[in-house]
Amino acid sequence: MESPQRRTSDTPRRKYSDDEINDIYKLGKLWLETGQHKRAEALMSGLNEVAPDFAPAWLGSAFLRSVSGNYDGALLAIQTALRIEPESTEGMLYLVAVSMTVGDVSTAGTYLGEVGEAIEQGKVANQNVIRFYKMQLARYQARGK
Amino acid sequence: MSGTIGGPPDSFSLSPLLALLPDGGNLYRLETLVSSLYARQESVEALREEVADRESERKHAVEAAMLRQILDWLSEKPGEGE
Repeated sequence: MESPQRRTSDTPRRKYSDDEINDIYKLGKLWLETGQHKRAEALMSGLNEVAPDFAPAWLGSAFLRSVSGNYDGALLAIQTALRIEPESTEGMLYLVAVSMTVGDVSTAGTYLGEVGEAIEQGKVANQNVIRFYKMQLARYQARGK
Repeated sequence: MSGTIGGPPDSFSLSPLLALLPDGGNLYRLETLVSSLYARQESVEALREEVADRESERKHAVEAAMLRQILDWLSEKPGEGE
């Protein structure tokens, strides 16, 4: 999920272009970064409705649900994102993080393995992905100690 | 990895989960869409009055809330961009 790629949403009378969807998401992400979660939620939820095939907005929703403690909701959103983009290492790491939080070590281990493999194969250029992977790997390895 | 001294903070250090999110589009371009967004808002509000089922009403309400937030932000912005 290096950059948001989506097809134009084909909702009658309410078509949103790829640019519009990406720009609205950008604003939502800005609000997440500045702590304006209620405003961000309106955008991410809106994008989930008008562009249900736009994976980044599902991850945005997953972030919001995670920070509010709605882990079941976060998992649903992440799984939706991964259905749209099964190769997304960002989505996989979101799944790892939330799975570890709810104690689903098996799922976390599985997806840590997938991301680790992708990194080893040189498929990951995003340094934040690599850093986050290392962080979650350490967390996984330290569990129960 | 981390920012330089005196430079902006490394976003990953502040919020790793947030730093994983893809970047997105262009806020300046969003500013040029004011007219079409208002038109969409009117369209959605009109649809909300037409629909009879709860699910459609919910979807329209969610979209309307999204558009309202964007238009509020655009109206708050001080004149020209940064």
